[in-house]
Amino acid sequence: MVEMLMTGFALIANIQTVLMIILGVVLGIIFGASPGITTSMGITFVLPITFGMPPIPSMALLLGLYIGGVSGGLITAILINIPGTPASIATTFDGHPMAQRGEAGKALGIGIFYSFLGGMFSWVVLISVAPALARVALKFGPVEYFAIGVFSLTLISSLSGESLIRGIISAILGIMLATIGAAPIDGIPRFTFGIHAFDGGLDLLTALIGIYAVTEVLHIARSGEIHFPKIHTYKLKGFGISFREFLGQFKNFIRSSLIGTFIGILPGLGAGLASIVAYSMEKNSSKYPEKFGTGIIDGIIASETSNNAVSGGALVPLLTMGIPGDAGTAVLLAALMIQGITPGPLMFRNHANIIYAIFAILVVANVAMIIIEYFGLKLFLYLLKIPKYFLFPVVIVLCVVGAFGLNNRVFDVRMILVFGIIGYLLDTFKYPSAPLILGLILGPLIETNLRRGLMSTYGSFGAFFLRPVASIFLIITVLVIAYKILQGFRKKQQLS
Amino acid sequence: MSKEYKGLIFAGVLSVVSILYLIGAWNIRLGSLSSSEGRLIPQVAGLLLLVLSFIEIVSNLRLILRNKEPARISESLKSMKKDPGTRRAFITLSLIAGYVIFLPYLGFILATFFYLFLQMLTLSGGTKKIPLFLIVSLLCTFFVHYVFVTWFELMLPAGLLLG
Repeated sequence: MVEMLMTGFALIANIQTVLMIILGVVLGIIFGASPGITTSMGITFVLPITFGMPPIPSMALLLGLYIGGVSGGLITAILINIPGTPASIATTFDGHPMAQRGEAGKALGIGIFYSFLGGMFSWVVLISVAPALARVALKFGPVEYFAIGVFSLTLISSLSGESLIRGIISAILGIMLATIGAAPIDGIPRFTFGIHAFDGGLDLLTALIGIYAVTEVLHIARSGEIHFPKIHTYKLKGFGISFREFLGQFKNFIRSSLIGTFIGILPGLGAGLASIVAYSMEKNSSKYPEKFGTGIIDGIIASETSNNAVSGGALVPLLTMGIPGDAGTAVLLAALMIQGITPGPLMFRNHANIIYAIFAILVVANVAMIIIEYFGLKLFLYLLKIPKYFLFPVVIVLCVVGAFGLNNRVFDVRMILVFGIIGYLLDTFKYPSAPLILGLILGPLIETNLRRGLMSTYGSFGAFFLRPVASIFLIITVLVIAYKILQGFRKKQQLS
Repeated sequence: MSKEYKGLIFAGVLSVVSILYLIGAWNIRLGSLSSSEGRLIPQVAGLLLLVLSFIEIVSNLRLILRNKEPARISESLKSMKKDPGTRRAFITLSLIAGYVIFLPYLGFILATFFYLFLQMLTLSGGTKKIPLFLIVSLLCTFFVHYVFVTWFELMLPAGLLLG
């Protein structure tokens, strides 16, 4: 492992990569702190810049943004009671009351410090678990991959939004869009309507840009939220935590880190849920639960440790099986594919240097995050005051350039408009958009492996249940759906 | 428009989409060497969408019938038209559509400049900062063009006027 890390650090020890990490973290904190711009959206905006870059600096920029984005949300959560990203919702519960009491500096310091610790904890898990899991995943066949794909998509659909049916509909729409173009294995054209641009299928990046960027601009236009609210004053002094307090919060830190990392590994759950679960667990096990919500450090530590711990966890399924755990890692998957690298167990064999570099980048990005966020707070708050009517039109222009740069054709630019309209409709009619993106990614994986699996089992789907790993995932999938249906019935009964 | 009507209309649209998609799936032309499995996932996806959108239609209808004084669609549509937010979103969508449609004809520089200026004007809600918007649009257009063309060696549409 030491050799692996040394190789990783040697690969990123150059000015270009380090600058990209710093730039990524700075942009990530800005995007993360801006209410309405999620981390995945931020990565999508920046993705076009990486087209001409070598893989390692490109990953440095995007992973820096990923790390900075999750942590950046705490700034606005504490100072104005609006979480910059959904991951920081639980930070508002105690962070803002502390700010109102004049302890904004302490709350910010603790939030930044535990963001770093949470990120590093999950990094340790990532480098320990990922290589071993990749070795196991190498033994998986098409039947196992099909089952894991179905399981991931079901989990994402059932946990995104309030309705199971709407989540599944969104995922099916993604799968349907993924069927446009040549079919896997035999390459027969499907739903191309004679348009040659459809032959190769729809580009994931155009979908991401359309659904995240265009939809968000339309949402901002509709809501009219173009100015930034007033900010509480703060004074930073160290990280705001004494050694005694640190020791007292150790159990909270370990528990929240474990929750965040585990939730990160499971597809579809995300940092938002991790912070809420960790906060609730800490409150329930506390000797003074009544104080939660009044402005105590326990709540901030639980929330910020767990949401940053998700980042390392979410990279485990992405790097080992090529399955993105959330929207952020879905964009990272697109970035790797643009570079000609397909994430999965073979990446550990064929592109081991990229894996080692990613491990090293995550450490540097976490260190950069704690330094930049601490010392650059004033600058970030100043930048946040830029009205959205300047920011968002420029974002659209960058997205158009990015879409055009994919294949140097206007067709892709027009597709972002189509996806933007789809995203806006889903948003307006309360259908979650994340399952659609994951359906678009996992659809081809599910179909290819289903067809390969059927070939190996001579057309028998029942044989899929005879393989232990596949049957476990398929049974869990059925149980998840059954549980959600039961939960829905119980809710209805309670209401009536 | 009331939540139930919105849900009903969208579920109806989805069911139509699923039927059209299913027709397409049944008519996928298979080559002499390809198996019928090329139709399998499209058929399953289309069928699932049809069933689920039907469930959505039924549940929305039940909600509408349970509501004693349902909002009339015509009244709801009128209030939507008057809503400045919806109007702003529609103008924004039209501007983005205009931008991506006219991009190859006007070229990157002209299309981007016009788009940025008009979009800033729309999102700001008509604030009288026209000179500032003109300057920012101009600077942003040339900056983005310079960065992507010079640094990242990307070919951007030159358009019919400048091409």
